[in-house]
Amino acid sequence: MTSTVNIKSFWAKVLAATFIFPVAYLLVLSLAESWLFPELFPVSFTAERWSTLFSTNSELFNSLLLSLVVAVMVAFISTLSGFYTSKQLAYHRKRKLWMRLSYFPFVLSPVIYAAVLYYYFIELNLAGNIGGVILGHILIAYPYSVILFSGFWGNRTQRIEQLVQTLGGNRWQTYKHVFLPLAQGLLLICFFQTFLISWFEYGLTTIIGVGKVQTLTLKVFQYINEANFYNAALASSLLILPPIILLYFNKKYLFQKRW
Amino acid sequence: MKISELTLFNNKAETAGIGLFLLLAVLPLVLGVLYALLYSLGLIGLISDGFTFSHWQRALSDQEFWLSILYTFYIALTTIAISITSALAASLYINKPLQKGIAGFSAYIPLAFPAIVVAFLAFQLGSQSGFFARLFFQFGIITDTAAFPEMVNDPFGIGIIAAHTFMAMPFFTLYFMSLYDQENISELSQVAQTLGASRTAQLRRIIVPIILKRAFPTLTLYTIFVMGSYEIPLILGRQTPQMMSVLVIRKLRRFSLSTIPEAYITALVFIAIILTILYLLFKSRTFSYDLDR
Repeated sequence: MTSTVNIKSFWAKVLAATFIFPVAYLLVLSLAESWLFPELFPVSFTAERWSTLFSTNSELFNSLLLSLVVAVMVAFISTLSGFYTSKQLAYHRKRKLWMRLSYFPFVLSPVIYAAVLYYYFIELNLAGNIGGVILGHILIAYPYSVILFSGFWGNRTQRIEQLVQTLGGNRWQTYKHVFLPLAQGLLLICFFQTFLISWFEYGLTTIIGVGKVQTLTLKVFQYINEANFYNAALASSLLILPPIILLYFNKKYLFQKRW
Repeated sequence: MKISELTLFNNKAETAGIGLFLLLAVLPLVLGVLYALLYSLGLIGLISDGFTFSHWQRALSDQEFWLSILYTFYIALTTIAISITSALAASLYINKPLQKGIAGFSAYIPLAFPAIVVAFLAFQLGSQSGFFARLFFQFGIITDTAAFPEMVNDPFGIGIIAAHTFMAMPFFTLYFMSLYDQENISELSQVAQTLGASRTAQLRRIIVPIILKRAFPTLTLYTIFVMGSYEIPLILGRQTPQMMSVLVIRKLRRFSLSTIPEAYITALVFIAIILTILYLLFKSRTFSYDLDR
């Protein structure tokens, strides 16, 4: 019995090490001064890359800020519009049709979606600028938000709404005092999930942004192409930092079906 | 007496909500498909010569196109099969240690990784001068980089499958563990045990079928997600065969304009495959529209 417990504990530790190792590897690579074959560990370390990150005119720092701005905007717009829209869709008699339609853009490959939409982005002067990239990300994040909130608008919520109306509450008061407090947890989950959809996005950003909107994911790819693996590791570390912070606060912010 | 007509929208709020939905979720997809379709038929675009099926004929007779479809399915299905098997093993065998302490926390870490970072890591670890090759070299198993087996940019997509599995396996492990609790599987197993079922019979006839049936929609959606992935096959794949998403972008970005209609045809076929899978999924009884369920 004890040996079975020990074996299980051993395998759990092996799995944990497999999952933690990549984080450690990225941090070590970002701090390595030189790490060439066949060295198993870097010969020397440097903090220069990390320190120059926060200096003025650091390209990577600008990308970090840009990614943050884009992801926050996408999360904010998608969450609020998705919350509002999902109510109208959930109580509509064609609910099933709307829900089916919302799955299509959400599961479609973002890069292929961007490829077939690129022409319209050019026509609307939205290709190669931050506005276009934000809109492109919203086209994926918004349907996700609609789907996520659809479960919230059930019979119970409808009965509460009817009660508020019977007691004389108007639409604004219903949202302010009932719906938003009730959906607070789900709104936070949706905000962070749509933030991550935008934060992780590469394919659509590179097509719609024409490579000009240099978010962090584009920087990682650029550094890989240049064979500058140390900077790629630094940019990758910056990319995984916000999700790991979210994980520290609440696992549910990270563990949600996004597919 | 006023008889109200059955209209699509009942009030202004509904009109605004559904209007916004149509504008952001439905119209772009319709317009995108329409543009790709017209381009593929030679009706629009820089090389347009009027209505023609020649681009479709050329695309459909191209071996690379069919190879790409097969390769996309191969990568997605292999990834899902490996991920399901390993996640089932982890969630059923080591579920207790995985629910507490550092092991419990670590299972969430891969969810914090964007695809491009996973691709970079797979390249760093699995290439012929990568970390694993260095380990083999230090232990004297290989004497030079060429002796290490190709695990990235290889013909079998080992790197691509490994990278996707790294992302999918922990997600499914956590998902299966939550399903195990939600579906009261442990109680059902106990009933089966009381009735004389062995542990193997419980696994084969109760536990695994319930989990897989309940997880079927998510597994299908994840398969679609892998089929459409771009960054991982772009960094870890080869020039040929390529996954459909990579092939579309490569054909769109070539200097020769003649490959653009073929790129749109590949995109249209991909969209058609996804729509068919989704249609079949929607017809399945286990499908729920709510992600929370």
